[in-house]
Amino acid sequence: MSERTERTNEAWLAALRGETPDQPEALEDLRSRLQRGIFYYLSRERSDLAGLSNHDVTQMAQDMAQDALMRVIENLESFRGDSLFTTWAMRVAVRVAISDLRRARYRDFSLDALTAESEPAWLSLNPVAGDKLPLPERAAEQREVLTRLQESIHEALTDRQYQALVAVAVNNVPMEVVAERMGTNRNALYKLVHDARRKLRAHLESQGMSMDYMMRLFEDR
Amino acid sequence: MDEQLHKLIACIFDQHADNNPIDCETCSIHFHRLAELVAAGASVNELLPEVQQHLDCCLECNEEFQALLSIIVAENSGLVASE
Ligand SMILES: [Zn+2]
Repeated sequence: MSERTERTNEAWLAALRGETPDQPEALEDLRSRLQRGIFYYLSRERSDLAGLSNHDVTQMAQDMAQDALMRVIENLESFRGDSLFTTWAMRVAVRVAISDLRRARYRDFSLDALTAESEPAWLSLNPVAGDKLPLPERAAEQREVLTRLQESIHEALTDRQYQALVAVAVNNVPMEVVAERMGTNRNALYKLVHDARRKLRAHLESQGMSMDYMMRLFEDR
Repeated sequence: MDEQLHKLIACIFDQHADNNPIDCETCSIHFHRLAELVAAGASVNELLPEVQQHLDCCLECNEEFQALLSIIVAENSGLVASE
């Protein structure tokens, strides 16, 4: 779109609502603008997509822009005029694009795979990642603390809090993916994880275990 | 140290979010306005410190905000190809 045809916020809204005769052009201008923005993001800012062909990325950006356009139109009334309309629309598009990428990445994982299966990996009483073996006394202390940590998790947290904490905080699965699998939404999950970590911290601190102490105990040296 | 164990300990004791009432939805409502201001040189922390706090402890919101910001900056500097 050239400078000349750049619309004001009011002109965008009027056109997209069909109050002016240029609705088809406005829809196409916006769709193409969102597509260019998404394409830029996918091709320049996402190293994880570097293996895709230009054709594939273009196709992906096209699909995402189409979805984003629909989302923008559905939510037109929530735009409050506190930025350029196109920036607000791009925010909607970014959300659509990133959500798609997150969902695609975890499409084949069940909730169990995102939580329970990973348990042995981080609570396998084998805290030493490198090849240096700790002194026997230190190893014993590490084992004891890990056992207490494991017990605390089971004593202090509900099953849902446990699932949420492991999936989100340990396995770094995006909250919107976990929320979907757990039948909740991202905001509620954020709060669930938040409460879980607070409860766990209080539980551990009541037993005299501070972060400094634990980090020092397990640090490689 | 095992990386996952490290993450778990860091997460449990992370006090970032403790006194911060902002959730993801409330945070992202500001993104379009912030992206324009930050693209023009402002700092999130000075404009809305509670949003900065949330971004510091929420990977997802941070990813979304940085993505939007990168596009707006690119658009402003003519890096996003026009047809
Ligand atoms: Zn967030």
